[in-house]
Amino acid sequence: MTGAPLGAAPEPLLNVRDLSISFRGRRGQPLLQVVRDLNFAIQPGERVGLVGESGCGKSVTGLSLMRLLPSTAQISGQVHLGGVDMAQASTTQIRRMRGKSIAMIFQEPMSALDPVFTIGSQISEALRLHERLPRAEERERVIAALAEVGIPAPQKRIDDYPHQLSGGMRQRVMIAIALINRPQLIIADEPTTALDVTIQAQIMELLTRLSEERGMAMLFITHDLGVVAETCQRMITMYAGQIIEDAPVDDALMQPRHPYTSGLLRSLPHFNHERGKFAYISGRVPAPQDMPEGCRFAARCAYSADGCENPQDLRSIDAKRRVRCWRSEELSLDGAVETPAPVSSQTSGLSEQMP
Amino acid sequence: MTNSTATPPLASGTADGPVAEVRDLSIRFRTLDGTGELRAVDDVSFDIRRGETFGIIGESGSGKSTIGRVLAGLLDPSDGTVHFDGHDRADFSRREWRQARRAYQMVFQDPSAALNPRMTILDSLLEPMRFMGGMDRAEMRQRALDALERVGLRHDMALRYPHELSGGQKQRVNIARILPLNPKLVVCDEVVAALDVSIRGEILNLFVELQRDFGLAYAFIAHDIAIVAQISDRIAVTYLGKFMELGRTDDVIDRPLHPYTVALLSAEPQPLPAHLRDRTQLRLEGDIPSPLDPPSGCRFHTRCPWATEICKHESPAWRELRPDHFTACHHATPDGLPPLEIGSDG
Ligand SMILES: Nc1ncnc2c1ncn2[C@@H]1O[C@H](COP(=O)(O)OP(=O)(O)OP(=O)(O)O)[C@@H](O)[C@H]1O
Ligand SMILES: Nc1ncnc2c1ncn2[C@@H]1O[C@H](COP(=O)(O)OP(=O)(O)OP(=O)(O)O)[C@@H](O)[C@H]1O
Ligand SMILES: [Mg+2]
Ligand SMILES: [Mg+2]
Repeated sequence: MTGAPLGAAPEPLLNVRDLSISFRGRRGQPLLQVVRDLNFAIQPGERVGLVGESGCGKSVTGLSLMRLLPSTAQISGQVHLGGVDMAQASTTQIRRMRGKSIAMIFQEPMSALDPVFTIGSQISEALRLHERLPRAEERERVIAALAEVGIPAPQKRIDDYPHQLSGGMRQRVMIAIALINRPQLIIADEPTTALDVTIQAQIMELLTRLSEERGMAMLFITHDLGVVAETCQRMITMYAGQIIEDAPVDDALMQPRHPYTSGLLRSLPHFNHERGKFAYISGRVPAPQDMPEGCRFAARCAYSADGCENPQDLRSIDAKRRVRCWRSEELSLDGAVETPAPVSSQTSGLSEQMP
Repeated sequence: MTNSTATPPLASGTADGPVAEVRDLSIRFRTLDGTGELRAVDDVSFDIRRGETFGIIGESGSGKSTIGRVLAGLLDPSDGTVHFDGHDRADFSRREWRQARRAYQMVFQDPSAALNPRMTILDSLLEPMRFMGGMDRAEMRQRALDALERVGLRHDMALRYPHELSGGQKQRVNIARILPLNPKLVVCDEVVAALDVSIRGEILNLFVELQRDFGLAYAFIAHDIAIVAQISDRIAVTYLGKFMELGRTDDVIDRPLHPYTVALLSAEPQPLPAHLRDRTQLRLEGDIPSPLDPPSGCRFHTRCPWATEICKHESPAWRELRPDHFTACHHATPDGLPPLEIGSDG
């Protein structure tokens, strides 16, 4: 069962097998592999966080699922979505699936929205790709969609242009566009990174609520482990183009089984940590052109030993967890918590049942 | 318990007096179309004590960087005063300021921004010393190499170009650039925001170490409240150009006095399993209002669950409710905020 996707449940919504992605360089430069042998599955309605440092291949993975990578990309492996083999699907079939089966939300709502059209007409356009409705009915649907993502006074805002909205409101519009055709899977690539923390909290709550109400699955790409903890059920950690750990989110946070996941968790700042002392992982990620044959994290790993120079498999260590470290069973790694008492809660005059 | 509303007097100029004293500071910008005026900072007073880390948190557009630029001597007050080491900025002659300003420096978010891509690292290090004058080439070179070593970079880095360095290494160079100037106050504006989480700690530890060795004071600006909390001695919370709260880190984080601070703290996503997360959640409705047209009275009242009639009309006074712990809120008491009743905010 080496490397088989987890969650043996009936039929996964998304099934990714041996996905590798390389880019052709400019003028005779060699092919650079940026994602290698990705295997994972997402069940209907499941929210999965995809984390890892900058450049590890998160966005490229998301874009490849949408078939949105530029032509310089070489992709191998299989992606099945709702039973359809995406590699065999025709361009028209793919176009039909975008929006209806799978949709994507990006970090920068301003660059994804067209400045010369009203937000209403941009949502209508997305709707019209899949459904033809009488004009009045279409407008009703758009207003309902704006209301559902929490835009106040949607009857008025529908005729606004993107620049008339705040960053948070624009991201809500992007969500409305992505969701208008009721996709089964949303890929959200850093959807809250550009937003302020109080607005981020609103958007995360909105996405979680919509996912729950509609049974919509989500792949949440982010570098923020706090966001994953608060929105996802499962966490997939990538390092240098590979999955290195896949686990239920609470297990990954409390008892990571890969030294990189542990190091990442220990690197997070915390209100309770000793003042002026920060943990970190020394060294840096190897460049794609000099990726080692063996464990890609070994050079930075505090636990590296003889044996780490061998290629590492992503092994199932129990029914719900996979890890790419041959020493995983013998290591006892720190998680997000040293003492089980987090941020003090006797602060201020807030009562526990606050809405 | 003091309950004064007065602006603190200046402690000017003594050897252990504050390194910077800001009084009734306002910064106004003309809007892009030239018709209006934007108050980026509005009537703010505080000191930066010698050798301390003064954290500044708050959402985008709240005036953090603008305050930082004033503290680094890059921007003059529209109203109010700034004293550097006891001397009013307005009283410096050009020549005096040229000598004095080296002591007040700034490091920015983008590690590449301050480095000329066509200059070697060594030349980038020499540049501020040349500008300052008074050293021969050999001495400047020696100081530059010492500074490189001090921030943990090998001497052979000196002849490289910025694109050959990682983000973390470039940020080290940016720190090395200011060390030969013997700064007393360094404004750190989102200095690790562009770096990966796994290496931020290494750079932050370097800041802490240099502070200890050189007695630097920092004004430490960041969006990430947990980082600010872990590095700062005191924290100021800004909202739409005003200070909402200011106090020692433990007081502000564990016993916040202002509703906005409570909201910021509970909005911070916690990387913990659900059963260990703080369950007191205060979710703010609505958006941050436009700084061009800030709300009347208390600027936070449009989003505040505690807001009552008075908050709409009267700007709350800046009060020291606990020793060294200030806030501007009509409803805060020395014991914190009164309990919120469910549905009391409609
Ligand atoms: N169009 C492209 N052509 C060539 N290389 C690319 C292209 N897009 C991405 N890459 C490279 O692929 C690797 C993975 O990039 P990707 O954008 O997926 O990273 P990421 O994990 O999303 O990082 P971040 O957290 O910074 O968004 C990087 O080395 C990047 O430089
Ligand atoms: N040179 C300028 N001209 C006009 N307006 C300005 C100028 N600099 C800043 N502002 C405005 O002043 C306000 C405060 O800006 P400032 O950059 O200080 O905020 P900040 O708290 O640092 O925000 P961020 O977290 O986004 O960096 C904003 O509304 C900004 O648009
Ligand atoms: Mg990305
Ligand atoms: Mg700023």
